[in-house]
Amino acid sequence: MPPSTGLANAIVTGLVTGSIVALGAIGLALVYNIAEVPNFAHGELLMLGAYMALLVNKPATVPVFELLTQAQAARELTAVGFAVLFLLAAGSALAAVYLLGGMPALKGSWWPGDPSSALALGVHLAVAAVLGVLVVVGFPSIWTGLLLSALMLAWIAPFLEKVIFQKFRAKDASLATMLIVTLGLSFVLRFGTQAFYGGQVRTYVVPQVGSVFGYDVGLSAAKFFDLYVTGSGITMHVIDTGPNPDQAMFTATYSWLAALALLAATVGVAFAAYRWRSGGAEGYGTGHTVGPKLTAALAGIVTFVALLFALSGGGTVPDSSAFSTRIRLSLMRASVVVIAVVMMGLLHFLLQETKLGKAMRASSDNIDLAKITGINTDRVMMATWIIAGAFAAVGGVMLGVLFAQLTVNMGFFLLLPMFAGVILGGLQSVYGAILGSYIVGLSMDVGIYAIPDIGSVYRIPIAFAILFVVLLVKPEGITGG
Amino acid sequence: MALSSSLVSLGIIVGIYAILALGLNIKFGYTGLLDIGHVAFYLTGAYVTALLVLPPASEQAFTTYILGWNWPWLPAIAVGTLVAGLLGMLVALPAIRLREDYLAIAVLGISVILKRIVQSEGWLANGPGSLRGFSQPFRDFFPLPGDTVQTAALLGFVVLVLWTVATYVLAQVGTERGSELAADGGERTDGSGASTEPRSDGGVTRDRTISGTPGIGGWVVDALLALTTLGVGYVAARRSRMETGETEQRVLLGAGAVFGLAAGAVAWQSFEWWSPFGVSLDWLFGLVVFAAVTAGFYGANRRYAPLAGAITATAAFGAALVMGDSPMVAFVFLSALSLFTWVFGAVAVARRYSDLSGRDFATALGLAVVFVACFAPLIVLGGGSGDVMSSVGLFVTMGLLVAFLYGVYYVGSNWSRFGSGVEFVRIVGVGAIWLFVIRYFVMANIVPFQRNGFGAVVDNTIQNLLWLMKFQAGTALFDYSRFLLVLTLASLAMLYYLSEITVESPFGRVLKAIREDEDVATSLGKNTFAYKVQSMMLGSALAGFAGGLTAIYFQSLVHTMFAPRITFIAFLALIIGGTANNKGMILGSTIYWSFQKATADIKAFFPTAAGSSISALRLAFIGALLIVILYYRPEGLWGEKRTLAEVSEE
Amino acid sequence: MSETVEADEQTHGTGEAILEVEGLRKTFGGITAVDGATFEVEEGTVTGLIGPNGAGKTTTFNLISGFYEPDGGEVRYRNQDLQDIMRPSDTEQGIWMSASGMTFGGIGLAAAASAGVSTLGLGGAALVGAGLGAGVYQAEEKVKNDVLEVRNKRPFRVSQEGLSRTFQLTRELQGLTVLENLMLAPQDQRGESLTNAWFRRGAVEDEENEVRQRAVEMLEFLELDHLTNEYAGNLSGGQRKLLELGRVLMTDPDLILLDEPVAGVNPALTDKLLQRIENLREQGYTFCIVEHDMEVIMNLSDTIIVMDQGKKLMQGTPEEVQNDQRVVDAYLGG
Ligand SMILES: Nc1ncnc2c1ncn2[C@@H]1O[C@H](COP(=O)(O)OP(=O)(O)OP(=O)(O)O)[C@@H](O)[C@H]1O
Ligand SMILES: [Mg+2]
Repeated sequence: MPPSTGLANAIVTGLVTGSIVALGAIGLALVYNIAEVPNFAHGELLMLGAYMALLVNKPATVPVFELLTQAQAARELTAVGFAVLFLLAAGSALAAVYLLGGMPALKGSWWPGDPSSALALGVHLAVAAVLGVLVVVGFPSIWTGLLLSALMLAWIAPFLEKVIFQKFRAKDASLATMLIVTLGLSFVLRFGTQAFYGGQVRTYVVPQVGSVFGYDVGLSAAKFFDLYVTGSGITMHVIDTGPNPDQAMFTATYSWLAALALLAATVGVAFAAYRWRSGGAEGYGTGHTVGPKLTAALAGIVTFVALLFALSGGGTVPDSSAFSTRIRLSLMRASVVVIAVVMMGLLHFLLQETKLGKAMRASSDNIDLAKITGINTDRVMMATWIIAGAFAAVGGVMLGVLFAQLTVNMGFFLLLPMFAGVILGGLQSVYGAILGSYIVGLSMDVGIYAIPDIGSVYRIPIAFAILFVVLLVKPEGITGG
Repeated sequence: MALSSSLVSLGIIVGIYAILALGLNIKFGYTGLLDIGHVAFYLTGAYVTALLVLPPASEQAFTTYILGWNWPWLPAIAVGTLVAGLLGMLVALPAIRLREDYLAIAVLGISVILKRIVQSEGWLANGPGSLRGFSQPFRDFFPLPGDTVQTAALLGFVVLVLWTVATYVLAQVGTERGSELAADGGERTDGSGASTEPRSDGGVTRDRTISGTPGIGGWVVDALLALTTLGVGYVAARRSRMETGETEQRVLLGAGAVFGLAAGAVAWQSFEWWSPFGVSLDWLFGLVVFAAVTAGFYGANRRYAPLAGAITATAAFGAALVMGDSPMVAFVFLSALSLFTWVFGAVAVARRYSDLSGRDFATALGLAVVFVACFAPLIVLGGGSGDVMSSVGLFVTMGLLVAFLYGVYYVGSNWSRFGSGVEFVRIVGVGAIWLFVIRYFVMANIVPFQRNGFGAVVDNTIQNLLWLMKFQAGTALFDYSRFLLVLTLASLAMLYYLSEITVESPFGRVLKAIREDEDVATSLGKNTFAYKVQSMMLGSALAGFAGGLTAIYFQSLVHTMFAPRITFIAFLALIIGGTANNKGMILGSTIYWSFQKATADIKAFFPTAAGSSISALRLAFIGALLIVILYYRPEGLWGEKRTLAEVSEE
Repeated sequence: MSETVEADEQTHGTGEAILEVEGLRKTFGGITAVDGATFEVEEGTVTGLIGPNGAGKTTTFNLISGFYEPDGGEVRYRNQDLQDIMRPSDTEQGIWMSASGMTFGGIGLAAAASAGVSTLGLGGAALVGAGLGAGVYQAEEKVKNDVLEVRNKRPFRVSQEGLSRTFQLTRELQGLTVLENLMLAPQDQRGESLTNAWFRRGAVEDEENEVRQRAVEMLEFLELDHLTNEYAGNLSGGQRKLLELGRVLMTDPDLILLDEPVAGVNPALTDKLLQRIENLREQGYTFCIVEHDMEVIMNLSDTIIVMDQGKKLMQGTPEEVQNDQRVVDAYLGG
């Protein structure tokens, strides 16, 4: 009898949920901190991102744009259609840079050093063109859709700042006013989208099978990771549900000794890495970017995975086991986590290594002080919105992929978990928000699993319940002082 | 069907939302509590009321729910209100210590979760299905007139409400040129016989008219007002503006008590409905009516207003009892009052805009006419049929509308160059009134004219003028929806009054202090926490009451009616009307629902397939409107009501 | 009462300490704003509190008035620990307990209803839940008080007991008129209770007239009467100071903490205010005043406390303070 899903599966699902929440929460926290906008329309940015990807992924379902598809094949564009896509992608990239600081930004004012304006302009144009070409070439893959919607949101979000929030800030609007404005904005975005797209539920076309190093791999079909605990050790059995009938991919048995060694080695390496990085911390220039904790985590994971393969002894599925559980995971879901982590890595790099990132951190601590110390807070603000928009777009597309449907309400439903993550993380830093989001994601899925008789409609209430408890017990959040 | 019926349904929904907004105003406008989960209490009130009124679930097929106690409406709404208030308290106790943005998130979360629970728990209130099967209060007695005591009593009730309100507003109108209609709430000045001089806010002296227009015109208008309130209202209103002596006060109180007693007795005898445990509790109902009417007399500052209501109501009740089934009684009373609303409305508009010149009025008329003209292509070329011509009409109209809006924007932002020193918003306000007039008296006649010529126009206009009556098969009836309107407006009037005396009291002053700076209030020894909790309770209870009315009005509840957008609409009404201005809440919800109504009319011209898009567009437009108002006119149309003290300078 | 300071040698005060501060400490992150301040304020006197900028005077005021929670030390007002004053009253505890009971009772009811038990069972579940809720609240309070020693932060209680303060940076209620600002201040107004506001309108109205009268008199005294109906947000800096002072006087306190009350007020009015403060002292009011204007503080105070870097540097009569080398050092050395 195959094992049933259990806690382990809930945890993995929670990590996936947490990743999406985190993608939204990062932008929400940045905007909250730096632009001081409690953005209740942030969910709508995710939604917008998800819908933008349709331009590439399913152009025939986008009103007006559908005119540029070829009548016979719904997912083929006419030449004009491709041109529009190219222009959209390239134009978005340029628009984002333009919003960062007007013409001077296009001429390179935000670059480090003092580049010649011709060079900067050229590079910007070239990059924009490359992005445009990428979008055209990659059509109609969902990943290309992801790229396009990230580009689009990267200018839409700062554009909203420019036409709305900046104006209100100039009038010294109170926090309450800002909040109501964002509510109004969320209405405009949500129902504007609905008015344009109509009420129907949309879906993406997601490839069922992809080719990885020449092998066909099922992307969206679930993989079952069955774990059996027996007297002699742990057996892992991976099943691919893509082909029919299901096909076993991989079976590995780890004796208790091996399992122990695996664990010990992982912890040991992680600890060693931690000591190594924190030991030389004094006067260590780049110690911040890859700090001790990060090093330890990376080293631990690498060791773990390496040993997982190295120590695996072939085996068979045991007939009886003391405990067995099953984890469902598809490549698509796994990629959500991977993409989120990669994006967080990029953000981490940006925040720690670049001048802009440092300015952002300073502004996040105290924007008035930052202004006095000569930081271009306007640019920082715009950069914040660009990042928030791009991350929201990615989160939105991932959400659409994960739930296999797009509705105009999808972002609003994620708003509470995102806020929960941000507040849980202490509102002060993006890192807190990331941590908080994973906690929220995990507790939503683990909660659904752990509480008997509770339907999955209660995922958001669970997130909210956690938020409420945090607000009552420790309103400054888990990382806050 | 005459257009007046849609005016009636508009009035009901406006009343419900105005109550909802009043609740929000207490929380946000006065106390500064950013409750973006207001809808939670609205939902609670609605469902609790409905569940109490419903018969047991076992008596219905395919529905499951709890309670089902077969209660009458009155106690059910009371309990619904109470439960909503208590829920407000429970939510407030932990949440209110939070920062304002956290509070907002917390209450939003609660409202979303509550909706979720109602939606997914089948045993609670029929889950995702709608909760239906309850009858409306007094439904069976309508239309009036009828030949039973009950129908006579109901007519008496309706007349009581109408005359009290009419007399009250008549007594409120300021007499100075340019003074706003009911410039002050009127509640402050009249203590229990404190001052001995006629009130400075316009006690009517011998040669002054109520309408305030000088000369013959004023007297004519006054005569009209007197005629349309059958004399009683007018006389009482004039009397009420004079000083009332101690004895007179006592006599009035006594008269009120006697009428209360009579009303209680009639109610007890006429409506037998409540026997929960096999015991008939109708006397309790009679007692409630007695208490309510008497308290109304006691609480009202201008006791002549309820007195006028009482006298007329008694007359109507007696006449209806005598005349039985004859439509005459209802016709006389209700038509008179219908006419009164027009006269009074005209006076009110003329006074509110008395500083506008004829040119301004003409400009406003021009705006309205141009706006209507924008739709000409759509009407001429036909709409909704989906053919080429109608598409062309659609696009031309859209283009014209955009051009119109831009023109308005342009004129508005350069108003100082064109204008006559009057705020542009007020011109737009007059334009909206013109629009109403055009729609109600001109456009509504087009179809009758096409069908039956000029006679039909006269007929239709008369029917629309006497809007409190429904004309059907040659007779005039008072139908149930009109009764609901009276019920709603009576509730609104009472709750408005309650809100006003609350915020004008020292209690309200503390609330405002908390809104401005909580630390200061604390440093002055005010337990701000307790005040905020009370404010939440009060505001939530009002929302709960609005919920109860909603249950009556829609007769079926489904979770989608309680989406977060309801809170948003309440906020919109609040911000349009003016934060911390109770009267503004009524204005705000009137504007919002008129807009909804108007766009619903327009929707008819579009292909049905576009229907959902248009609805969505409407909501998007409302979001944008909110942002625009917050930017250009954050204080709302009427701004915060200012309480000026008249400090006697010796 | 037009004595000058020199003639004002006769001692004021009852000899009783109305306020005792002991070892008060407050830190903000790394900064220790108040570091073990210990002093007393004698009833019926004017006590000056001076010190260089950042000495911790305002923070001390905030601690005394209950606005900040101290990190250490205690404050006694009329021999009563501030913490005791700020402890929730029985009624409040009752409200909390019933709320807790109601919540749990509701949950119990819902749980029983969803499990589909009989009416009796429903009632039982509600009852059990209510009891549980009440118990939970009691336990939590006990833990908070006895185990965690959580400090109560309910500064309004302090003000109700007669210890009122003003703010250094004026905090007027901008959206209220000047008159309303003052009318807000008196304690225990009948109309502040909702039931009275609704059902005893006559009595409330009478009291309102009385309060209004007092407020108008206060405005006349402060020479703000021409601004009666002006929004407080439209006042100038000096006018705001006056309004703030008037407001605290309207609460009719026993001990008044004034944080730089005359900064920015014109000299003539300053003299008048000082005169008023002296008058009030004669009537038995006690003042504790922070002020940077040495002339004012030396003229007015019976005792002066000098603070520096969060500690009390010295305490003494104006003469003693003027002649003390440490004080001079503190001010010059910054
Ligand atoms: N809320 C706060 N957060 C952080 N630090 C604070 C806070 N309040 C006061 N401080 C710090 O505590 C110290 C004492 O401040 P305080 O306001 O008590 O001084 P003060 O004696 O009133 O000065 P001044 O005469 O200028 O009014 C200062 O160093 C100040 O920076
Ligand atoms: Mg200070």
